[in-house]
Amino acid sequence: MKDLEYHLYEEARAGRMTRQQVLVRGSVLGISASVLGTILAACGSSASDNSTSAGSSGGAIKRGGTGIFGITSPASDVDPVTMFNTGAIMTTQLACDYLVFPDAQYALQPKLATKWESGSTPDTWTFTIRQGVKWHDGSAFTNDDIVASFDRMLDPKIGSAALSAFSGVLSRGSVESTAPDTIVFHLDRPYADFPYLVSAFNYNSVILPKNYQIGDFTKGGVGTGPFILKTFSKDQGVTYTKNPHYWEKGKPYLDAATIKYFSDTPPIVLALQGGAINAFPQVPYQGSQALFSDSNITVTETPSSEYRTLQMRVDQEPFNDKNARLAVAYALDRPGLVSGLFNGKAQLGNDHAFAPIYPGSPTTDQVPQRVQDVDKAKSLLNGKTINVTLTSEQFLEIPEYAQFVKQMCAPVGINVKLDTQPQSQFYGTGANQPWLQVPFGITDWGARGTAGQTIDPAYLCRSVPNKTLSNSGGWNSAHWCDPAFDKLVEQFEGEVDQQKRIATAVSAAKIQQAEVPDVIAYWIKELRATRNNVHGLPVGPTFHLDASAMWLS
Amino acid sequence: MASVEGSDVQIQPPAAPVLDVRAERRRRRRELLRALVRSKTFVVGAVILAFWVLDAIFWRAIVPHDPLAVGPVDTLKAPGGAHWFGTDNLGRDVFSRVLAGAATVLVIAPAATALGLVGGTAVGLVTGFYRGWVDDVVSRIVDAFLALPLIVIAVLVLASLGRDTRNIVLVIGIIFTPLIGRTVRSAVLVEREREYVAAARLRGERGIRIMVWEILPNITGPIMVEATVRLAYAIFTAATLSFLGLGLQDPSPDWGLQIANGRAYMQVAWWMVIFPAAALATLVVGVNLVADGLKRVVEE
Repeated sequence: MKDLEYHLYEEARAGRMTRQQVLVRGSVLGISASVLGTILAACGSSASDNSTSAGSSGGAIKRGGTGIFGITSPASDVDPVTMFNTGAIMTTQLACDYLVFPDAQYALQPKLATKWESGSTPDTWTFTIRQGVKWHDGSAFTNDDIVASFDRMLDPKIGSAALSAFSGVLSRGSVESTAPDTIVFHLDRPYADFPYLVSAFNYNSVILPKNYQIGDFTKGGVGTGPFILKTFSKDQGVTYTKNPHYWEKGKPYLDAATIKYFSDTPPIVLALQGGAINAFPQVPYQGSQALFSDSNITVTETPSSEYRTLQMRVDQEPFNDKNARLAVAYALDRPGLVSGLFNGKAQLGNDHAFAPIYPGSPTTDQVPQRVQDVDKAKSLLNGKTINVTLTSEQFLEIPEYAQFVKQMCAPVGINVKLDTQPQSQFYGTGANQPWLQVPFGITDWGARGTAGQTIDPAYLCRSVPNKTLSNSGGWNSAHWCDPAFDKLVEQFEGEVDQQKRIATAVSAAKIQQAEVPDVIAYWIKELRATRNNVHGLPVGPTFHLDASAMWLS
Repeated sequence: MASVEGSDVQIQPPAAPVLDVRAERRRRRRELLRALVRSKTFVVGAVILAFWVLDAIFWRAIVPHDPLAVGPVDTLKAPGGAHWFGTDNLGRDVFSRVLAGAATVLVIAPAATALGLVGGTAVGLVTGFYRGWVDDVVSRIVDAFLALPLIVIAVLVLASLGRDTRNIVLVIGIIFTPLIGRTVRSAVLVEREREYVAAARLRGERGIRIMVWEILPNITGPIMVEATVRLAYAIFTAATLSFLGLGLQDPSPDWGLQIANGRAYMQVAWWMVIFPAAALATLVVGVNLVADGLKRVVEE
C-alpha cells in the first residue's frame, strides 16, 4: 500500500469518510480495484455496488433497437474542441471518448485510460492507455492522438473552451508519450484532482485524431466512442450507428442512436410522454413537472455541483460594503427557494463553493449553515435603504429566482429592480459582457468534478476580469480578491492527504462565507427522465451522456 | 381690414342651413342611441366591455392578493378557497393577476386604435377626396404595406426599437393606419359625390375644410364601426405580441404573457393558462358584440 492509499485507509477506518467518498477519492487518485476493496472493507461494507442507471435493472440485456434522445438545440457550433453548450457536448459524447469518465457519484471510471497515478507530489500524472482501440474509420488509435488532442486544446490560437480549465495547471507541450501505452502529464503545479480535468467534467478534453481539423466532427466518422455519427443537421438532430469495433467487447447494446433537437422544454416533455423519444437526459425542473406523474416515465434525481451565483461586485456601490452583501445573504429564505424553484430537488447552499457532493467538502458542523435572519440583515444595513438592479438571464429557473430574491430583499430595505436579459445578451461578447460587469447579477454554473474547477475561474484574484474582459478564465464576476483565500485554495488543490484537504477546505470556505462575494443559495439535483423501457443509462453525472450500456426492453 | 368686412358678407347667408344640419345630426344621434339600446347584441357586448373597463380602472381595490407578490411555498396551487384561480409557478395569485391584467391591455389597445384611427382617417380622407395621383401613390404604398404579414412587421419593429408600452402602441397604431385608411377612403368616395360637397365647393371652401367639416361628420358611423372592430384586433395583437415575448415583460400580469408563461405548465397547472385566456376571450367577444351591434344599427 502506498502512502496516499494508506491515508485513505486511515480515513476510512477512523470513520471520517463514507464508503462513497472513499470510492470517489480512490478513483481520482487512480487506486486499483483490489486495494480499494481492502480500504472499503475498513468502512465496514463489502461488495461495491455501483448501480446508478436510470430505470429498473429489468432482467437480461436485450440487444438492438435505437435509443432516441431529446435535447435542447445547441445554440453554438457542435465541435468537440470549441463547444461549451450542453447540447453540443451530449452530441459529442455519444461518438467520442475521454481518458476517464465520471459516474453519477463523481467517481472516475476508466475509458481510454485504464490506470492512472500521480507521482510523489501530484504535479506529475501517469496514465496507462488502453491498447487495441480503433478509430471509427478502422485506423489504430495511438498516443500521438492523445498528445495532439491536448496540444490542440492548449493552443491559444484555437480558442478551446478547455484552455481556461487548464489555466495554471497544464501548459502546451507538457503532455509526453513515454511508452506506447503510457502518457505522462507534467503539470505547472501540484493538482490532486487532475484526472477530473481529463474527464467529461472538462468536456472539451475528448480524444480526437491527431490530424483533426475544427469542423470535422459533424461531417461524421470521428471518434473512438460507442456510436458513429452518420448525419448531422443543426436544426433537426443527429443519427448514429453502432460502432462495430468499439473497444468494450459486446457494447454498445443498441444498434443505433438518434438525437433530436428541440427548441424548448415543453415539446421535449411531450415527445417523451408520447414515446417519440426514449430519454430526456437533461431535465430542467421548471416546465417538466408533468413527467413526475407519468407512470410510463422514470425520473431520476442525483445531487450535483450545478449552482447559481448571486454575485455582488465588491468594488462598486452598493456592495463594496460587506454588510450590504451579508444583508442579502441573510435576507434569503433558502429552504423556501429550494421548495419554490425545485419542489425540494436541490440542496441548500452555504455561500461557499465546496459543493456537498465533493468528498471532503465542509459540512454544516464545520461551517454553520447560513439561514434567513431578517432582523440581522436589517441591523447590518443600519437603517439604510439600498436601491439596486439585479441583472439576470432568461434561462432555466433564473428569472423565477430573481423574482424571489426581489421579494425576499424588500423587507430588509433592499429595493431590487429586475433586468432579465436574453441569455446571449447577458453573456455578451468582447468588452460588453454584463455577467462580468453588473453590480448585482445571477449566473448559471454547470456542474464540475471538484471545487477547484469552479473556484479557479470564479473566485481567485487572477480571475478578476480585466478592463477589456479579455483574460482567459477571468470569470470572477464579483471582482473579489482575497490573497489568503487564494493561498488556501492552492494548498487544497495540491494536497492528496484527505485530512489536510478537509482542513484547508474548511478554512477557505469560512473566508468565502464571511466575505460573501456571491450568495450560493442552492445546489441543484440533476434530473434525467427515461421511458420505463430504457435500461443501463447512467443517471449522471449531470447532463453527461454515456450510452454504451443502454438497452431497450 | 377689408377681408374682415368681406368675410362678414360671406358667412351670413349659409348660417341658417348649417344650424339645420347640426340639428339634424343631433336628431340622428339620438335615434342611433335608441336603436343601440334596443340591440341585444350591443347591450351584452357593452356590459362585458364595461365590466373589464371598470376592472381595469379599479382592480387595485378589488384584487384579493397583490398580483406581483411571489410566494416560494405557494407555487402551482390548484384553484381553491385561498386562491380562487390557483397560483402560478411563482406562487402568485392567478385571480388577482387576471383582474390586474385587464389594465395593461385596456391601455395599449385603445391607445393603439386611437392612433390608427387618426392616421387612417387622415389617409382615407385625403386619398378619397383628392383622388388622382395622390390617391394612386398613397394607395399603392398602402397596398405594398398590406402585402407584408403584419405580425412579422410588428416583431421586426419591436425587436429593433425595444419593447416598451409606447413602442407597442406605436407599432399597432401604425399597422392599423392603412387598414382603417382603406375603409375611410371607400366611405369618402361615396360622400364626395353628394350635393352638399358640391355646394361647399361652390361656396369656395378649401379642400381641408370640406374634408373635416363637411365629409367627416357624415362618415362617423362607418368610422365608429371600424374603430370597434379594430379595437378587438388590437387587443388580440397586443396579447399575441406579449405571448411571443415581444410585449410586456414579467412580472407584468399581462394576459398574453401569462398564457405564454403558463404554456409550459399546461399539464400540471391548467389554471395558469385557462383563466387569462378566458379573460382575453371574453373581452374580445365583448368588443366584437359591440362592433356587430353598432354595425347593424349604422347600416339601418
